Amino acid sequence: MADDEPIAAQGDTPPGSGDVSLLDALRRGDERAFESLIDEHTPAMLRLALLYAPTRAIAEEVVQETWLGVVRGLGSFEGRSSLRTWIFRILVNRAKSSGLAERRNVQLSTEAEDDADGGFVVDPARFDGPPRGYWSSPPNQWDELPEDWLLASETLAVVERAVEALPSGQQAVFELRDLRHWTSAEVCEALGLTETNQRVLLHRARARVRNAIEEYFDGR
Amino acid sequence: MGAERRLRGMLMKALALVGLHPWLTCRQCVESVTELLEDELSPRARGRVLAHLERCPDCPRYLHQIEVTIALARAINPGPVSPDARAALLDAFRDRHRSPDEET
Ligand SMILES: [Zn+2]
Repeated sequence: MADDEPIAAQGDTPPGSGDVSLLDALRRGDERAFESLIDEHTPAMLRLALLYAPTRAIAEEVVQETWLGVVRGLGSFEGRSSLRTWIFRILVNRAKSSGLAERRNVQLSTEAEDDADGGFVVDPARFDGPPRGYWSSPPNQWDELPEDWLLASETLAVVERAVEALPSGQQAVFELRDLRHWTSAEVCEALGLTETNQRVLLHRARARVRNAIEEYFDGR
Repeated sequence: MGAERRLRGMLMKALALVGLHPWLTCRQCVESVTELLEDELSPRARGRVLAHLERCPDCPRYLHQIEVTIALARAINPGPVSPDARAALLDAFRDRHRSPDEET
């Protein structure tokens, strides 16, 4: 593979590149290193597994099997890609071998195109101007609320529900890009998406979550 | 909002009323924010989006809200990994290091 991560880089490097010492610890059998790895990646893995699995139980099983595969494979992992890219590739392979992949793949790749809202992330009726195409009903000013309102558990619950309600592809991309700080190249590789598709899914996801927050504060 | 900015916004909308949109419509601007944030726009397209944002009274707020949305989503705590699953994995990890022969 030509685009190897520079795994020799150490210190304040982007997530995924502090792999060398972590890998050493894992190979030595350092349980705490393994625990932190599980805690770091499992939520995102579950979301990703849900793309392929029809039920949460099966998705959880796929995640569990993936970790077991990681445990078995650590000794032979060569560090050609970052540790997390490797882990997520195992996950996707597991999910695919569960036999459900074909149907799900179709769903994931077309999801960007055939969204119910006709491809616009904000209701077109809000751009009636005048002039047409310009805001007639501009965003309300929820972003100017005091921080303790925004960070109130009630608001965060709204955000969380909005994320949970996203279509699976949007949810996975949003999770990996915006919550887990993955690069778009990493997400494309893990999910098998084109750059464009990945960006469209991210665009939709962010907009939907924003819309949900706006709606929540509109109703108050 | 500064007076100059308000004037530029009025000019933009006046041009739009006669059918000219040299700096995009709000609707186009909203659809471009992710490409802007991802730095995926051509220099020309980027210039048009930025010019709209410099004039529009509302789109900068939308862009800012997208950023606040991401920040808020980051404040959500993911639920903990189920204790049973966690314990099973740790067992497997321990076993593996007790018998270090490879089987891959
Ligand atoms: Zn605008």
